[in-house]
Amino acid sequence: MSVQPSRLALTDRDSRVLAASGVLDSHTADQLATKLDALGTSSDVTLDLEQIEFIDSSGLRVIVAAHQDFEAAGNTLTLAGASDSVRRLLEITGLLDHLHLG
Amino acid sequence: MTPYADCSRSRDSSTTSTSGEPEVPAGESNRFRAGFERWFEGTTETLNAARSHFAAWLDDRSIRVDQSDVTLALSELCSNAVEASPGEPYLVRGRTTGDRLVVQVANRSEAGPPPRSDWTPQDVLVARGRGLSIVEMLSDDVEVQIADGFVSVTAAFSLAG
Repeated sequence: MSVQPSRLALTDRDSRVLAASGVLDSHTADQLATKLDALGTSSDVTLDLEQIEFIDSSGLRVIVAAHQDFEAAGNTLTLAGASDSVRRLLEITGLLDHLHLG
Repeated sequence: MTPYADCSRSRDSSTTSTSGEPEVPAGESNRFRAGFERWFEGTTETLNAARSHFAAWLDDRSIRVDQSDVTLALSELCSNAVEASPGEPYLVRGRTTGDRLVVQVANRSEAGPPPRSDWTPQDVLVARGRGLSIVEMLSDDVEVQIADGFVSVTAAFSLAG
């Protein structure tokens, strides 16, 4: 069985809505960080996670860091379409009540 | 090509090292009789393979366990191994014993993870350092061993009834 490295695809739905699909782990997390950095924190952003197949703490690290950046700028990063696995990770890490879920 | 270019190939439960492969952590080989045992190159590119091969082994053996929890915990352990020893191969092993699935990830390192009391971040909104806390929450038991130049983290999961 040949297995390819994790893949993450990021699509701009519009200028402030970013859709992520695939895997968010330590191989792909920096892609998301770079994209969120490029979007900036000057206004609210929605990150659609509906098509995320797998996420671990490396993906969460990027989301939490971005959340902090948006909060510091007085704006909001909203997580949309959180699957059961995303919610499970947020729940066990105690983040479910601290991040903005749409 | 690195000496470990083929290290993701499957092995049986033999712990005898072959040419070009790292030694299984000494002292562990007899105690941990693995049903699953694979070396992976120490890069993040292999994380998907580690998760996929282990999940396939669970399926092949019809091991009834919460596979999403096991996969997440395994991903955390493998990511830690790659981060602790970048470029060094890491070993993933699994076995069932009684009513538990035991997962072990070992990497070549002299320094182990932080003490267990530091696994859970004090600030819930801290960005880094959640991996072992997640493993601890998902599993029944986590054990860290440091011996013979290897760090091994072993997590046990209850099998479904």
